[in-house]
Amino acid sequence: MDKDSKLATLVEYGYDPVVAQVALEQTSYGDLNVAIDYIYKNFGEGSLDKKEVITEPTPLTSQPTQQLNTPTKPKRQISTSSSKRLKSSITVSAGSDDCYEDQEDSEEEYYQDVDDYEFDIALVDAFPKANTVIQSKDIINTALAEINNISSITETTPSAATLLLCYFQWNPNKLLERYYEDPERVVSAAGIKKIDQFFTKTSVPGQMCSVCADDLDSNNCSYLSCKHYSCDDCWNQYLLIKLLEGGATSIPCMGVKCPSVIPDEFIHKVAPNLYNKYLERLAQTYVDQNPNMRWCPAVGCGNALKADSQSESTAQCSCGFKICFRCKQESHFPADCEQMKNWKKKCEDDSETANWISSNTQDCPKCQSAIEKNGGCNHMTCIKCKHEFCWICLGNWIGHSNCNSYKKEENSNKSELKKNLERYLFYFHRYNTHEQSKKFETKLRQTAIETIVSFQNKTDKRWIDIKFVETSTEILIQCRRTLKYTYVYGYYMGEGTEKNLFEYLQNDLEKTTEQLSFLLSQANSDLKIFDLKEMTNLASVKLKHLLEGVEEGFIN
Amino acid sequence: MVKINIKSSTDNKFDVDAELNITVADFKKIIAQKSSIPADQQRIIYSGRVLKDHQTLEELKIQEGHTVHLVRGGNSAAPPPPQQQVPTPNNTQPQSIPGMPQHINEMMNNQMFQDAINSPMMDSFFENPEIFRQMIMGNPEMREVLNNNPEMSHIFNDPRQLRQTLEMMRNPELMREMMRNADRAMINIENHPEGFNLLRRMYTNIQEPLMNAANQQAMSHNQTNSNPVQENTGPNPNNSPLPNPWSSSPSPSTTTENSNNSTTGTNRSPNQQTPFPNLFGGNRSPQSNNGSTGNTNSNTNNPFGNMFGGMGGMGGMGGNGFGGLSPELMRNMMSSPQVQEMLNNPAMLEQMINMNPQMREMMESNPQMRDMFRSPQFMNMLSNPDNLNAMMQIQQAMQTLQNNGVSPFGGGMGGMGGMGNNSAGGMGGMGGMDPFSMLSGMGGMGGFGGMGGMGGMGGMGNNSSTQNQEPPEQRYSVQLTQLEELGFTDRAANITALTQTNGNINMAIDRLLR
Amino acid sequence: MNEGARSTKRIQKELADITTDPPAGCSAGPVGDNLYEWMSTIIGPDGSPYQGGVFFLHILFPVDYPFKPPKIQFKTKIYHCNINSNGDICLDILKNNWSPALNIGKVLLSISSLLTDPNPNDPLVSTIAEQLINDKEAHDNKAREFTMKFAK
Repeated sequence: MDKDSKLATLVEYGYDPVVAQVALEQTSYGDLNVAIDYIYKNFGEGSLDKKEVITEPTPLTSQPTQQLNTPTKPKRQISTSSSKRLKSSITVSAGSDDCYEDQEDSEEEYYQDVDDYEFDIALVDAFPKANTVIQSKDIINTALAEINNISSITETTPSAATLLLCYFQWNPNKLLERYYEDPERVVSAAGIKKIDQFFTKTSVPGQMCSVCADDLDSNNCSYLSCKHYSCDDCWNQYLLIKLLEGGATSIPCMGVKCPSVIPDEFIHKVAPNLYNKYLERLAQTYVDQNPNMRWCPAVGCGNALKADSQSESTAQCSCGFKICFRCKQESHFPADCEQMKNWKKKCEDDSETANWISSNTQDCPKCQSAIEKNGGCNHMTCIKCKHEFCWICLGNWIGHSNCNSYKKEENSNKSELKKNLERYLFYFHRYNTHEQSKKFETKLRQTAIETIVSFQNKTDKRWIDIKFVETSTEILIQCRRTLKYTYVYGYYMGEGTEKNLFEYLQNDLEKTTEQLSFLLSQANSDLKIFDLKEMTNLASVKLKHLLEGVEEGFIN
Repeated sequence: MVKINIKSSTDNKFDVDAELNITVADFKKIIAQKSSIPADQQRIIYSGRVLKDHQTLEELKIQEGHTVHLVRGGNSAAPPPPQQQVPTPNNTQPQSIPGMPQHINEMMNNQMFQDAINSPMMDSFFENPEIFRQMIMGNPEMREVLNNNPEMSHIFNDPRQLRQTLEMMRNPELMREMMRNADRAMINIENHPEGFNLLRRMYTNIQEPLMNAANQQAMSHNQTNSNPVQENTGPNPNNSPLPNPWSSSPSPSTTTENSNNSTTGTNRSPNQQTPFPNLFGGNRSPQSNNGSTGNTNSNTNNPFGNMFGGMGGMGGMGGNGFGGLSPELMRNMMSSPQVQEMLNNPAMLEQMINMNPQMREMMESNPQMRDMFRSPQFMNMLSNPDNLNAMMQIQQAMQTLQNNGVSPFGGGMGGMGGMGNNSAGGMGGMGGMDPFSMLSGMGGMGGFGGMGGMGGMGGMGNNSSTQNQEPPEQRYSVQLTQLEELGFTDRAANITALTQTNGNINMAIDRLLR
Repeated sequence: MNEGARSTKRIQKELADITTDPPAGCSAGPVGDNLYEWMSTIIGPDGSPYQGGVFFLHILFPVDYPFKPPKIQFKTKIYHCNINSNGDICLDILKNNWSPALNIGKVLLSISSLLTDPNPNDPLVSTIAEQLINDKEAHDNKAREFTMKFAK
């Protein structure tokens, strides 16, 4: 092979001609493999560092870099843009300063373009119209404020106000309306019986504790106006058990079928060590009983969400979790609550058959080595044989297109039941895959911040760009969640043009999501800000199209 | 002498003085002096128990000032003697036992029998299987039955089973439930390919002898007792769903293994037409869950289906796309000793093939296929779980391709594993005629109707996993020989052509002639 | 006082009460050495179709008794719309309306009066409840038949 054909071969392999030329020169046009090794050793993987080949002979080129960035770091800015762009720019520039300047400018412009994109993230589902997040530590204070408010309006004691609020499920409007209609009836219905009359630490000689039969003659007796005598010991035990039970209603007296309800001052006096627990329980019932409030279902998040009206369907917690206000589950748009209920039930019923799906490994369709999925991206590359395939359908990734719609087998003689099961498994598999991916990608929230911090320290990236990783991650999680539930929606969707369009949009979003996921999974080592911005924007637009389609109908 | 209060519904409240070391029987006599109820009709209740005549008041922890309840017992005159005698194992009642089987029916309907069965005494009696066993063994007829049927004696030795039987006898509702369970279980069993044999065996081994010995009485007993699927020990009917017949618990397969041999010739399974013993019977139950549709097809129509029943099932699985995804199942099947044995023993397979005239005919008209069966390579491939896995994977990938409509093989895929169902009946596309077998080094395999599934997989597996391991000369030695016989003497060209056509001889010839 | 000691003391007291002065038609006592597991009898109340029968019950006290209700089950089969074939009893004081001031004697009495006055409006076995409402005579005959069969 002569020099030219060697060079041509290297170029054909995808190396930059300049790099290839240098490499061949340095290896004195020997074996091609040696030259390739040289390229890898000196220029690093891929074509991104080829500028260093250029910069080495001409030190001038490092100047503009230093003007813009920290002088200590080698210039890496360009390396982040797509290699295609880089290749073209470098082949043209071949070691001239001017070209670098141009490059810089054009990149700057490009940034500008991206920044100017309008991010229509405030989509149908993206951010709820209005809801308040009450941090876990503030819940009890919010509840107490409400109690005090009612107490002052109705001119009752806080204890009575608490009972009234519990009785009216923390709906102050309804409470006041009814209260002014007939105060006495409301008070007795709420179990308030001469609320201020209770006795603690008294002696009732000749009487026994109704629970443990101890004598009550040593200032150890407490009772309400209903006169169900009991010793403080038993009251404590009783209150503890009732508080641990955590029921939704107020705590009744110990007497058999006694209508009296225990006021909170009584608890404070008889069992002071349980009072905090009582307040916790109050906070719990405050959120549980209030139709406009929900606990954030995310693991480890104790916040409560309050919507301004019951018509709200979604709310987002400050921890990032988004919930459906109606069914208190994760927000599941586009599928509706009814569909989710049926779906969940179906999943439980069929969990036996579906068990294998949830296992996290599959075999590479080419070399059969077992592959564990450890990231959210469904574009898999086998470590062993480098085969690229789609995790969902195991098809070749190259030329891979819609694997999101279930194809009915025509003329099949399978039983109806079997076909249904197959159809269900098809949707379940995809639902589950997106769920798994979402789990991985939720972890990205943390790593995204780490990424930001690490990049802030070692690169010349602009803060706003790095910060963008966060936005992208949010969009990605949102896409995953929506995709997950589109399979529930799709499962219950009737056949027809609507469905075809829906599946087209779904497929579209799915592809973009995978690309975005891939970019983000690479972000830690190789942050491609342009691509990321582009893809994030694309994803959010496609998400918007899909969601709008669901909301307004696909054909119009 | 202590004072004990008596509360009675008829005589109101009174008290008696008694020593604490007297028995309840004596205590009753004391009470009888003050009560209108004679001693033999009294029932004394204390501390949640009905007191028994032989106990002493001390044993019962009755003390001064305690209160006991007195009620008039129903027909308490008859039961006491047996109730007292039965719990002592030495004191059996030989005269009552021989009559038992004959009169059991009348007894069942007899109020007295019901009473006896429902008495709390009987509970403790049934807690002790030894007594029951003795009773049974005292009956020569029964003993013979038990000796001939170890399963039955096991039942009688199992206190749980006994109690179940007892519960059933005293509760008609439960009995119905039992029967229902038995029915369900029967249906479940019948749905298993080998299940019918199991039932048959059960019938001949357990039911018939028992019937002979104990007439109809045995019917109820053993329908519940021999039910292998369901065991209901609770006192109430079972409302929970019956065991999922699709669950992969291999319950029947262990028992069926031996029956494969014993029932040959009298096989009454759904595969009646087949001249072959059901070699894979025992193993087929698990995967037939997934491939049941495919299975039924291939088994009823196909002379080979039975032989390769298991593999037919695999075809079915492939056809279903998702079923084939479970390599575990496949591995289980292939690692079963029976399959292993067969696969490791080419002679056995050969013999099997030769036994079947149709099969032999097919083999004779297709030397290629015969070679394939004889080839240790093929056998290895079949027996290597990894290979099978690979095949499954590929097949499944193909299935996906097909689903997505991007299959380059189009309709030709019909001959492939996945579609094994459809081509089940016929001899399918033979050898090179099958467009799919273009891909297949083992082209002929595609032709095994019922083995369609397997054929497809075999072909596929070969295509991908064997290809890279062996030189083409070796891989296509059969085809090479054929080509040479046909007059294509350029070995190198032959090899190239075969490689390009993946061993399809017709295509290769086309290529060579061009 | 810890929970175990409290419940032990309380159960012992109840045992003493019920052996010396049991409520009408009821008796109860520990099965063996375990103070928390009792057996009990209820004599079918006069005037009810259960008259003449003796019904066995099984009682299990929880460790936090008397703050939690005891678990009570019929061991004898009975035809009653508030008692199912498993022997479970549908009685408010054994569930929501349990009060620590109740004791086993009062509970057994309540069960006994449930035998006299079944509550078909809150049935556990709806078929029996319907029969009781529509054809009391048939219901009582059936209940008597069950009593003769199982509770004699």
